[in-house]
Amino acid sequence: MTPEQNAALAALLARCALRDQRALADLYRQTSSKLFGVSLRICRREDWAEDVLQESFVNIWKHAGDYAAAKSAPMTWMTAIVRNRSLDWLRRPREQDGGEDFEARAAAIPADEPGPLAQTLAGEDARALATCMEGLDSKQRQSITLAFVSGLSHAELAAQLREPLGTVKTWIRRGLLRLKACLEQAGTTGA
Amino acid sequence: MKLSADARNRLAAEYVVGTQTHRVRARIAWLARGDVALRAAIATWNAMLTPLAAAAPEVTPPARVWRAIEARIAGRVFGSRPAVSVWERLGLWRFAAGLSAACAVLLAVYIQQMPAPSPAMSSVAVLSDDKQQPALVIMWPPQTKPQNRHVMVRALTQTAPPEGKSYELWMLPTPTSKPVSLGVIGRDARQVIELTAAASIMIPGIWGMAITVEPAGGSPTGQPTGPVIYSGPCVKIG
Repeated sequence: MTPEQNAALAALLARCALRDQRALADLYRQTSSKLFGVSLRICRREDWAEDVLQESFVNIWKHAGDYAAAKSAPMTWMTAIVRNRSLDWLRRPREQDGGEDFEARAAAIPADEPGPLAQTLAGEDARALATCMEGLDSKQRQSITLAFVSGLSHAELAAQLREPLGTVKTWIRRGLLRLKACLEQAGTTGA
Repeated sequence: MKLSADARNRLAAEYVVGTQTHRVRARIAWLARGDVALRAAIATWNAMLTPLAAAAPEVTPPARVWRAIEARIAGRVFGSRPAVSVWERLGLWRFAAGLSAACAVLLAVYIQQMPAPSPAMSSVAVLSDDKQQPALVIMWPPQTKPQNRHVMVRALTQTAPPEGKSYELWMLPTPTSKPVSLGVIGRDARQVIELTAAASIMIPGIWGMAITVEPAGGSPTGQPTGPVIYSGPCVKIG
């Protein structure tokens, strides 16, 4: 995202806060493919991801007035809404056991982490993140990516990576701390 | 519950990376509502990790998703009646046709006489009373940097609110949208009003401004409650 793109999206959010429905339509046109991709990756079912995207945009519309106070980039703010909705949907307690869903989902989880980060991540912050991710142990990198991008829980990660739960939790925790230290050194946090 | 900085940071990190169970996530979301520092920690982790989301390929959603969103938001406006009727009732529509001749002349004279202010102003609104007599000029610089987040208010006539009342300045993004408060204005002939970040984003494209008479200290509801005393459209000058 360039500063100009960020400013344009922030302006659309400001207009949404004033109940300008055309601004929401523009916002949807510009961001829905990205956000649907994010949700689909986590939900791994089109119908669920569609419901999540719909709920997310209704939420963006309702809470656009809070955006300015969030002090974050527009895509960061909207992606957080979509990821939270996706994870809440995925982890929601269900009436039945939901065993079938879990099986189907587990089968659909890609064995590898998504492609080389340096290629998919554009922009300055993203480059710093990619560099710092490269500096992690491969196990730390893989578990953080699978958790953040593919929405795997601690338990799912342990099953997927065939490692004890405690080990996976430690990888994630240590990996995140190293990542934070590295990014703080690169001076990109809060940017 | 008071969290240590370490515990807060760990909870925020795990919340953002998303590995916790539904119950733990709900608990953290609940805690964050009353804990500014936890919200800030979550925002920091979001800012750090969100570029990772680009690893998920873009997929165009089916058209039915937008249709469903549109159906759910259609006709939703704040309050019990559409915002437009508030302003129709207040009579601002009279000014919709544009600057009156008197206003335009005054504006030209005023801009010529005014010493070049620093920073340079980008827009101006001349606010007139119901007899089209100009009473106040509001000017603001381009909103390109944080130190420009203000509007300058110049009173052209001696005017003061009745005892126990305040004048409140509003901006109107479009003739039909909900007014946004810029705050209460005082009695001085020259004043500067600071803008919030949200107001600063909005102000470059606004259509008009108005001043209403409100209870002392400003409208208790966040929307105009008293009569419009001055109003006028905005003009770009820079």
